[in-house]
Amino acid sequence: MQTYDIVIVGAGPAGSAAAKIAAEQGMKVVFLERGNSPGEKNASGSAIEMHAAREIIPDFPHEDTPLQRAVEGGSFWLQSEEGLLCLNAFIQAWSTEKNDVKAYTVYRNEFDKWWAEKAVEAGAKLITKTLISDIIKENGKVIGVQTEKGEKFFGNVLIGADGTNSKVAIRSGFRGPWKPNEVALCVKYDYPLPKTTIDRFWGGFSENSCKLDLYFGQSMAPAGYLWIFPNKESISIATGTGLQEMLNGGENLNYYIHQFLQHTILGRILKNVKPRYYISHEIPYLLTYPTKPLEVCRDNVLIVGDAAGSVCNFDGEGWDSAVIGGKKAAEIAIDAISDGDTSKQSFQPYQKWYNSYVLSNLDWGWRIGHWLFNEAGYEQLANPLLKTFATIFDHPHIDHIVPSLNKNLSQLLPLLGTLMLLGKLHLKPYADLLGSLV
Amino acid sequence: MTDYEFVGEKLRQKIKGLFEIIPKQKHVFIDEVRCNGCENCYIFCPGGCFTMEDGIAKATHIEDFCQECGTCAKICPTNAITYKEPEGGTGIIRRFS
Repeated sequence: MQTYDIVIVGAGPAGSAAAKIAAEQGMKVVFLERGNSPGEKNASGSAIEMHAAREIIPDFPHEDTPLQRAVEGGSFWLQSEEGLLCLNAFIQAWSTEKNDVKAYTVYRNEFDKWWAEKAVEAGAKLITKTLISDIIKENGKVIGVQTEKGEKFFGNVLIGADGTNSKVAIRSGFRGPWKPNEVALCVKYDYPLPKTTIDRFWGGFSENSCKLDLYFGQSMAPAGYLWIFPNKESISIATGTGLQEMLNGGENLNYYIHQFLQHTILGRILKNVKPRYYISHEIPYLLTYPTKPLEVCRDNVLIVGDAAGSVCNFDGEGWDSAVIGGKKAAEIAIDAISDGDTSKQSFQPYQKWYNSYVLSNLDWGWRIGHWLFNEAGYEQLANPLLKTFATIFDHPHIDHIVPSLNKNLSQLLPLLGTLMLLGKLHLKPYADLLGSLV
Repeated sequence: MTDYEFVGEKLRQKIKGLFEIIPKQKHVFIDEVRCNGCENCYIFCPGGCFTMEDGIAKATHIEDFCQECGTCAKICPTNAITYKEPEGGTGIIRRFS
């Protein structure tokens, strides 16, 4: 029997962040990982955001942080019946100075291992190769976890950071397993390419920088998108889509990747290049309108990251909210432990943080996602512009071009109205939040 | 219309050798009485782990191809599939993820 202040299940972004913050405050912390080392079971796009990393490690990144490329921008590819429209976005703030980098691409296997080491250096105890079999309850309250080998870990507070299929969340009664309309499945291939090729097609302005490619369209992902994230000497090509949309007439995700390589320039770039790695992973992706926040704390137990569904239901980004959520959960657990009250009531500040940060993200994500996927917003946006270009190529004469611009671009006007409405609605959660603070 | 080029055995041939798995015990099970033969697991499994035999799904390649996503259990309309995570220290290892 082992007793701790805080027992954390999972050594991913959220678990390790919580472990580091709690250990720094002198808590006796253990975090359990089912892989041989942290990161081995993890997968994502995969990029990490600086603002979130610096919540945990203020002087991030360090010399030895395993990063791939700094993200300086992105290309948004919108597919319609007319073709593919590309919107390039290089954001000034994302380039030049090291301090201005907003995000880096990483290999999660390397990065998560380094990330967990920071928690170990702060004094948290990491136990690997350990899968929990159940939670332990006493008088209806969670008091610890039991491993499949029969070991027991007791703690004042249990933090469930054990991912999409979280046993802590399910066994503690927070939720059942996610339903098909609450998760997305992603598959990803890693293709090695020479650095010069990557610089040429995806390079940014500074050394070791890149832009990301995001492709929206039914033939790439029925509800979700296809993406290319460049690393130093490889690119990741991945696609992801909501399970429910996949079931409603979709295909195995490998079909979309194959089609993409067949029909775009990528097929030529990757001609004779064999992928060296294949990954698939499931993330929470709540495609129903988030009417009610998920319960994320109960007596003695908190859930964070994918376990708590804290993933934006438009872009699928969950690293930032997992990391910040891990920090918030640890801070609130520390306060509760020092006050001698680890009841659900004492954890309410964490629920409040979740409702404001995660739920507003979900609300925004749902509106944009609903418009893009259900009302095929990408087609509405792409069609008028592509038609204009088509006219220019077909009739390169001003007499044809001007009426075409008038006709096609005027179709964008109602669209601007929709976008402004989306923007206005997006502000609502913040207005509510401000109202509750006053 | 399902494109069977990317399903089951054909998918396994395409992704073979593109990941590492530490030998493990079977951890996905199908209740054959409940299985209604809908093919969801067979069609959508990203590891191509399932085989249809006489209209019933069989979890034939869990040990060597399962990616540990848990999708199979979620998309089974009759809840015939039980997904568990494999024993600690075994199963898939992700290096370039």
